[in-house]
Amino acid sequence: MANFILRKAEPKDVSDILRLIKELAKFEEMEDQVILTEKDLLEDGFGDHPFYHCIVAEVPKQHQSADGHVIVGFAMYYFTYDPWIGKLLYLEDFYVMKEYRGFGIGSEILKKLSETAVRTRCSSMHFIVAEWNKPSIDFYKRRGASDLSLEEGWRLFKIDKQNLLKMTSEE
Amino acid sequence: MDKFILRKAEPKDVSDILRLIKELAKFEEMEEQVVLTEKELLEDGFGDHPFYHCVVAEVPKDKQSLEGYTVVGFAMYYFTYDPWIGKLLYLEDFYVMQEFRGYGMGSEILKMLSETAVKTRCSGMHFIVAEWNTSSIEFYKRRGASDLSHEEGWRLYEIDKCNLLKMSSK
Repeated sequence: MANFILRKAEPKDVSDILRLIKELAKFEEMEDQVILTEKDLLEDGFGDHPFYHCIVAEVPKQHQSADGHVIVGFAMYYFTYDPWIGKLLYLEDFYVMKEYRGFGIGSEILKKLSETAVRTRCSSMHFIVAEWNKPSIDFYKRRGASDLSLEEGWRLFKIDKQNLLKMTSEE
Repeated sequence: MDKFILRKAEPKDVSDILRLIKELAKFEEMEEQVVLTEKELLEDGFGDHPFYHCVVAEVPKDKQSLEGYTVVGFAMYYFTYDPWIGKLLYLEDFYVMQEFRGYGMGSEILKMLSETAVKTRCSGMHFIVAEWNTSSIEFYKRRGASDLSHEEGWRLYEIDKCNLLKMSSK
């Protein structure tokens, strides 16, 4: 199997995008944490103001997956802003179905993202990787990625909805 | 000094925003790393598609800073997307000039951001903090922040322009 194309996701792809999001979450043993719906993905990605962008990898019908899918990989990204240098491309999710790995789909996706980043005048690409995910870390390091958490000591924090509501109601 | 207002930044504020970005960078001993210009801040924040949003804290003229500034604090944020839960508000920069601290500006800014996040149906607010910055970590933890890097082992990575160009030309 060497035939595949990469293209911008379209509204019709939201079902496949959600399926692949869940598959990746399953790999991280977090599948039940995915509460996003196809309706959310449609509104948030294909409305007036897209909150994310997607690239999908598609194979010809004769190479469809065991369950009959032709969308076999995706990358979800959006633009962020660094106050020192400006626009950045932020890679949020990146996944290729297991049976389609080893054919260069991942590399091509990353290449396409790099072209997008350069074309839209982004200074770099950022993303997070779980510290235990050695194969991913090596994949990215081979392409010149550096661990900012290690070099600069950054730690990612969150304030969840409950605590946000608490703050909004405080005097 | 307890009088101040918070408002959405306007194009006229880009000069103050850049000044405050540089002050915060100076605190992190990284001032020369700020290559962003007022022109870029203007294009990127106030064009058809804003890449960031800003809230500024302003004091009355009679309470201006030593150098004569009335915009004395700011927060820069934008929206990100979590594939499991959807929209998030991402707090990128957050700074109040030293002489104006202790009057509740920081708390008010964070409260305003929380309201924005809730109003725009975000599931949460994310931000990064340097592990050595104990006072900021305490400030956020008091407001319910949890350290995802600690709990979930996430590490922030970067592929810089040089390597992006390398990849795109292969």
